[in-house]
Amino acid sequence: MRNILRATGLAVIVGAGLAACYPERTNQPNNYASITTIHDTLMAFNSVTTFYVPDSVVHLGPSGGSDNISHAFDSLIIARTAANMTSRGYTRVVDPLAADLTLNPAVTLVDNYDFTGLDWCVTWGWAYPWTCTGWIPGYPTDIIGFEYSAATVLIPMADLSGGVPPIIARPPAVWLAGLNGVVSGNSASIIADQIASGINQAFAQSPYIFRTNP
Amino acid sequence: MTPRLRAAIFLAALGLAGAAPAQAQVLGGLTYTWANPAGDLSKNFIGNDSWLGFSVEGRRFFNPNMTIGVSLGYTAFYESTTEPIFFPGATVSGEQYRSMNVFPLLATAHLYSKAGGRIQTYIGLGVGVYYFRQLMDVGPTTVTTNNWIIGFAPELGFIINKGASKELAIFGKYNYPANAGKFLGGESGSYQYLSVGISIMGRR
Repeated sequence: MRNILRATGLAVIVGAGLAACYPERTNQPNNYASITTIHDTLMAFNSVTTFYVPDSVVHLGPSGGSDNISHAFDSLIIARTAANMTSRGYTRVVDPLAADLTLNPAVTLVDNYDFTGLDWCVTWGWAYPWTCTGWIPGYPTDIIGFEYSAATVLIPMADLSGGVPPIIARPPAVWLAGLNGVVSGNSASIIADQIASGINQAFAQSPYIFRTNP
Repeated sequence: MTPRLRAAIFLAALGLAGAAPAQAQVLGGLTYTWANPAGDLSKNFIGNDSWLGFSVEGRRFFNPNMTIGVSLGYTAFYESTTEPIFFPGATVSGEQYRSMNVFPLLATAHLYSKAGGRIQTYIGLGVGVYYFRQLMDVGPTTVTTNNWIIGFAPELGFIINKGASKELAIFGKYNYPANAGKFLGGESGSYQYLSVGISIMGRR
């Protein structure tokens, strides 16, 4: 019996040690390239028809902070985003007031960027000042928050067809794509490939976004 | 037919009736296990098999053919993958590290075939709780869940050198936790796995 107790104690210690250990795991934070898409499960994406994408990409970081992320890829980000929306049957419009959906591509300047903690006006206010009502809505609990590295491409999509806060109680962000850390650390051609394939993958893993079946 | 007679017929039908290690009161051992994910574990999270598993077990003879005992185990499933993972309202693709550490703590009962040869067959059933520690790294984000879930584990095994000072047993056990818990994405699931192991056992 004593031997069994000894063995039990040993196994508990070994097990506890192993539990703290994750084999083949890289150190945190890591540089895993990943594409995350989050969507509002209550949104009927086939109920709207038009979209708007601005002609520039906002860089998200602390106010007054330095911006060392290139704008050379802005046009590619915008073009790929618009092309994927068009292929899903939506019509691009140039007047943001006439659009049902708006997509505001952005690039993060800092690590551990938490989209759910984002100030509403930082995300949307630069292009749509009427959204800056002074009231910052909380995000619904069914929209999962992830943190992102610097140089991450974020593509938030909002459904403004029903108005903006405070007219609507629910934040109109209906989709978010995050291409983690793609705009840095490689040659321009590799970065461009990563951005293009990453945006395509973001839409590919979001089959619910369509006006007409792709 | 009396209950005792019915039990005897049942055991005879299983080929399990007969003498057993009469003088041995306690059977204890250390086990190494290989495990293959099944159920929602392989469907939703990890497809890789595990070569990292251990358990310790003690069994007390309740009668010559039957033991009652406890078992404490540890199995680590892990993989790096680029396969998309789907949550309610979210999808993640690209490089991820996924891990599921499982700790079963089971009360066990075993029935042994009649003694005689060097090989002895046994069947068993464990009932208890499984502790699941789930982890996923994606980009700079690490998400984890912890769940305690009840479950059971039927087992078939063979003691292959019965009578030696240290006996060896090989066995297969199907771990069947209930469909419960709150795993990544807030979903419940039955994270099952088949484990095959080899035990070094001693009798007292």
